[in-house]
Amino acid sequence: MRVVIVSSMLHMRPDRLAAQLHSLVSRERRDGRRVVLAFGDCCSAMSSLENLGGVTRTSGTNCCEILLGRDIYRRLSHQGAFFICPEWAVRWRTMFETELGLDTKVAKAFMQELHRKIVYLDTGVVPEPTAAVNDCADYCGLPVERLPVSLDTLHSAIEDAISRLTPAGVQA
Amino acid sequence: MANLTNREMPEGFVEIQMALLDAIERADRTSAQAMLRTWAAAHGPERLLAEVIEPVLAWIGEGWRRHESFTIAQGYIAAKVIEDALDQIITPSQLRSSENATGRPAVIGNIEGDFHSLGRRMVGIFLRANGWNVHDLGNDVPGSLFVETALQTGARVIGVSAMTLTTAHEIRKLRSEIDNRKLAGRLKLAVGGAVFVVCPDIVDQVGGDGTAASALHAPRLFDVLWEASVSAARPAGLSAAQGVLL
Repeated sequence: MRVVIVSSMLHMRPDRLAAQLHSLVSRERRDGRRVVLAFGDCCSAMSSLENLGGVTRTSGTNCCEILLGRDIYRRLSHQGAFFICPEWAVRWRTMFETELGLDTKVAKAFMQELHRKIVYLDTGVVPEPTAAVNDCADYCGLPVERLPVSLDTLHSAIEDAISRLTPAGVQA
Repeated sequence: MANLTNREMPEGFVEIQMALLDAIERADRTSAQAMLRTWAAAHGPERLLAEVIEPVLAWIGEGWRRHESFTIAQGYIAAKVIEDALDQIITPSQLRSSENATGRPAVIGNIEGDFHSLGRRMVGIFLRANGWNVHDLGNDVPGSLFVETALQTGARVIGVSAMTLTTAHEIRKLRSEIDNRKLAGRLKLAVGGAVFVVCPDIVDQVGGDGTAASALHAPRLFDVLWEASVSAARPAGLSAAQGVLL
């Protein structure tokens, strides 16, 4: 199985994410390969892509739900969790200030209105960027929790997606 | 950050409106609140909504409709400025006496499985500013609770929010709940969220009665759907509006 990694920053530009995924999927299908999209419901094109023959997607609305499983994701969301993953954590300032237009004062009000805590999902794959996580929490004025996350749920989600793969050319 | 003021102003825009727009552009909630309080003290809080806030929001809303670039921060501050005015400057009796106040009940919430509350909260604020009595059920709300609350409060419009296609499809359960209880004429379903802006076709797929281009346009949509509900309750001839896109 080949793994193709797409820049996670494209999530901030869903139309560009859609264009890139369309391009990648088209290329793979043209070469006779099937595709598992290890994505959440990240852009409006996902449904049309995953309905193509030989293409499927992991179940879940976003990567945090796919990592945690629906029940834990839902329970923590009810507790007001704002999830951050390792890759996101090191880019938090760009996300908040450049992409969302927040500054520290507005960010505190904004984040504290919508969330009760920051939950860092520690997959163990890369060392936690501890300073970045703490800086982000301070910026938002929210407490931070570290949650060790096994990759088993993600593995199961990918296995499930593979099991749903149709032959190339057959609609899902 | 998008420059809201670097455009031709509508004819008649006055200093306070320009200043408010500028404060929103800078995401400066404190300045906005102070200038509105000062203006209300001089001219009367009753005039604040109609003469200051509404024209500015209409201007911003038109920009949203034209898909101009606004940041989350600007949208958030615009909503908070109104909320501040409603909570701290304009009393409930003054709000009720304003010319567009309806006092109509509305039920809003994020559909089951959806936790993206910002848009819903903004809709609630803009509805309140237009005189609606808003019952906000929060995130992850099952369809049955929407319907029960609407019946208890006398609401004719349910506003349901979903950010993604996956959660938007959960709205079908709410649609079924309404239809199975034979309430389709009585209860109208306003749907909203990022996915409906990008793919308006989904409104029909999930059984929505209408959607709006942004939270700012929600009050107009709710007005239309309320009237459709009232029309449906009339004995003959007046059909409900379907598929409203505002």
